[in-house]
Amino acid sequence: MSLKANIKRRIPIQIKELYYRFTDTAKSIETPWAGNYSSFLEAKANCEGYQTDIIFNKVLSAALKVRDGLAAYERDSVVFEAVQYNWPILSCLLNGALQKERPALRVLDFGGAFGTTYFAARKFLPPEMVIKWIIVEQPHFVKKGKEEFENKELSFVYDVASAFKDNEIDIVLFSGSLQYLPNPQLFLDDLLKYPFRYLMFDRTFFINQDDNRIVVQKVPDHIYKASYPCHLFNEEKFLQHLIMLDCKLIAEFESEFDADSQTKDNKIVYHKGFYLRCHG
Amino acid sequence: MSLKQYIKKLIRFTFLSFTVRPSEKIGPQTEWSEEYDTWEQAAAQTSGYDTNAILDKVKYAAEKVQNRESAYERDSVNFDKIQYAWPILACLQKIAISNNGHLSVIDFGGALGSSFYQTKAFLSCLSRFQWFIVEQKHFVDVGIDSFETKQLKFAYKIEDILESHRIHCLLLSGVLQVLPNPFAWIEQFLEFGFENILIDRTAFTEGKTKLTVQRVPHTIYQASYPHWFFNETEFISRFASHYDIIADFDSKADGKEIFRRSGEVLYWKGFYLKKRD
Repeated sequence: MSLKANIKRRIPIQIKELYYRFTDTAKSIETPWAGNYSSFLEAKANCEGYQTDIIFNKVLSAALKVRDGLAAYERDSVVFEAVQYNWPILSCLLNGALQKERPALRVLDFGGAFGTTYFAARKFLPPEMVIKWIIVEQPHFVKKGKEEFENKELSFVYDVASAFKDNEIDIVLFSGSLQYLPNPQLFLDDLLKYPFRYLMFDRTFFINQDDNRIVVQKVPDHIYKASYPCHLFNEEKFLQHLIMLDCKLIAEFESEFDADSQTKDNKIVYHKGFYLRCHG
Repeated sequence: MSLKQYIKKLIRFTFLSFTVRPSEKIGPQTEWSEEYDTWEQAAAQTSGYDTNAILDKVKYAAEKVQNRESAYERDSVNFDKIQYAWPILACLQKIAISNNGHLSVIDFGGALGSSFYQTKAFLSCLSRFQWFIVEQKHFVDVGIDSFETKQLKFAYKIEDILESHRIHCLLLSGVLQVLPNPFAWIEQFLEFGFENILIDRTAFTEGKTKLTVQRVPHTIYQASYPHWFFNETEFISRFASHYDIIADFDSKADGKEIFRRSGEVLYWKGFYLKKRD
């Protein structure tokens, strides 16, 4: 992380907001967040390039490079020469495994693309650890995932029900995926009907305002040209909903890979992760 | 004021308040002096690390954690929430898994248990978990007297522990830079042959290894002591003959990079080292 990024993440949100207001930065810096929509459908109607082949091919090409040893690591279709370990995620995965008599890890990775988190974590997790990693993704990802990336630990399925049908799951992971669901709250309500012990969120978007907001996110051009509808959550409401669903917060952490940003009306958008115990 | 000037001012402000030292939220920053040639010269300018004032403040903060009035303390400063050292937690758990769920740690310079309390919530599920702190005599005296539990023990010397316990990991968190002769200590650690060594919150410079005096702000505890900044390549080369680097990481508790007036970059980081077979 650069000095600038390091300083940025340590500034309290209130000071940042004052700063943005004072300097009118929002007008001079392009924000990735547009609009304030009343529904996800409305936001979606204002997007371009959602689910396009270009994104799919870029993500696929980056993941293949990692699979074939041509790159150490990829994230959001960007390849890296060295693995960037996600330490909070590794800690929580290991913790989930250690709670059992024989360390084993059965993960449902919702929106895990072609295994970004799996391949990075696998390099660190002890080789003797028994791992079952199931990715739930969009149909074209699942189809290609099965063809190119499945191994004895990693598999791809089309929906949550299929993942639970044939497997026992310990941890459900959302790494930057929950905010792209049309109705995340309802999705969590349904998910929590399944038996699993831990819930982990990483790279989840939060907004410093009293309520959730539906926006259009513009992906930076250097990654790929696209815009998506997405939710920016109010952190307190997000956690309250989970607590209402009988989850208990174990730990929270800053998402290592994402810098803060702001909306056009100077609200700070930040990224966090949570590790929760479910079902009491 | 131009945007550039404003950013500069903001950086200076945040620099003082947030990045220089882990513990304080706002207040005067820790200072490092110019370079000294010998430990003795540096020490002559300082109050030292072995003052009772430090012990008293650390003890007071650690008691709050022990009594659950505070979640966590570091450098005698209490926090409402545990600030997890995620890389350390991940590495300790990885070591535990490779040892059938058993983990025995020697925390060299571990004060009255900052890192123990910081990691306990994640590690208490282990079937066997022991944490030994090796510290200065007056810390160990207080530790044995007031802080020992089934999992947390104190000892005056590493040898005392190794006589009767198998240790999986040596933890060196923010300690090597305040030892009079860190490289001699590293030699000692290599002779003990620990299977795993975790180094965290260690101070580095992009220049050559140097000795300075650190003045801790009175908001933490009034103290000053000699303080090393290591050249990373030189530092890690001391371990290279016996250990592989499994991972390295930024020490999040401390600012990743700070710049001295001279433009020199100082930074804090950690390493997970594993003994070669």
